Amino acid sequence: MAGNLNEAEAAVEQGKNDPYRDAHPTWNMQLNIAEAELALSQGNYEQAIAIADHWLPRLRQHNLRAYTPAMFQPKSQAQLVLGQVEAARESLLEARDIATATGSRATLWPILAALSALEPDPTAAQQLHRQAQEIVESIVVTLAPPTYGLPSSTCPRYERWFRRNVAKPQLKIGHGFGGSHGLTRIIQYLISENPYNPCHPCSLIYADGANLPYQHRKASDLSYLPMTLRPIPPWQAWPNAQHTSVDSQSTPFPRTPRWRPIGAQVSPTLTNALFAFIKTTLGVLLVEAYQALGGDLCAVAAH
Amino acid sequence: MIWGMLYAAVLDVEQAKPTLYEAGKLWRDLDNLPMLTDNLSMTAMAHVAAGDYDQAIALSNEAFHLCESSNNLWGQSYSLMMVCLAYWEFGRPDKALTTANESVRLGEMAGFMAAQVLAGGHRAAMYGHLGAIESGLVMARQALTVAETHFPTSAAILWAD
Repeated sequence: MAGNLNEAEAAVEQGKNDPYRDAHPTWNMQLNIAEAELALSQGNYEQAIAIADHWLPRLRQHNLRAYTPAMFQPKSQAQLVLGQVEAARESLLEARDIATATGSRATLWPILAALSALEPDPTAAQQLHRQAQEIVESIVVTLAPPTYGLPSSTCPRYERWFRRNVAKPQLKIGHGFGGSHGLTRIIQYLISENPYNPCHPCSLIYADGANLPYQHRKASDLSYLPMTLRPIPPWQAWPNAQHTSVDSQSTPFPRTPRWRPIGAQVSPTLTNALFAFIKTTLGVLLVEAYQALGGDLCAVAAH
Repeated sequence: MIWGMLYAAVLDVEQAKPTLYEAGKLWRDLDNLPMLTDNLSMTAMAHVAAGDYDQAIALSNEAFHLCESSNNLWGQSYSLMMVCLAYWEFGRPDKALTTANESVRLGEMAGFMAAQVLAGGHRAAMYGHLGAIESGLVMARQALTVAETHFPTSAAILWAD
């Protein structure tokens, strides 16, 4: 995921050398999937297909549906690179059927998106695209309550998907109340009320030049912001908030927010990874927000 | 029940499921709560592998609440260890992370290393998928440390995550 193929290769190799690997192949299946994905990332397309072809018959035979679509994904991508378009489409169709049958929405949407790109019929392609889009929307709203108005931004992977498809109509992103004003209230709430962060991975460098871990920020630190800074839980802040549609040319966020994170700091690795990975105005900030939400949910689960 | 666990481990989850259900019925008839909860969690894991996520969640919930009623932290952690994947697949990353976090937390309290490794590994992968790669790597290294310390020859599962 981080793009460090050497480290990934070493990790996969170490896993493959586990002497008891063959004793519990079910619970090791993710290693095989990782091996296929690594081969794909390294440009070893035939090897990626071979690994998938080795395991897919066993997965089908034993009805291990949890792993089958994931095994098809590196295979289909390798097939595409090799120009085997029809074979790739067949792989994706089988993966789609299994993911649909199991209700694996997280697995299904990338498959639908890939199929839409291969679909020659524009209407069918658009329908597949819309299905994928609806799934993404339904997933991201679970990460940020709808009242946040920030479903597309709570996690970068899904955000990239949204941004790539921002030209599509009917994209619901809560633009109507998700501007800098709303964002500030959200972050202020997260800072003051929910400072949980399991890895404290970064501090935010604010536009005013201050650089403090957000755990150490207080409401008064944000006093330069042109709004009320009283801690307000989002469900109180926007009791009547609803998603709004935006037109095809709109951007999910204000192009010139009144304040914004301009950097992330914990280590060069993190900074580089995040900036390479999240090249959006508010991406860094929203990773923080997401992690803080995770802490809150953890507390809920304790009950 | 051991047969069921073995079937599940060697890919044959379709054979594992009836075996585990049969064992579960016996534990229920014997009113052996610790073994019943263990069985329910194991059956839930088999259902996760088979992609039967609804059943997995239902069994996991039953196991969790039974364990909770007897203050069995180990069992609570075990019941959540794999079902986080079901939530993830259902498109509920919020519940998936909550469940994985809780499994790790309870596993640490109970000294249950497998949950710290497996749920910790799943949690790390989820963070990575969501774009928080550095956080995911930190969590993966934490889980790996536990794995290498306590299961030095069986770290393969974690490497995959």
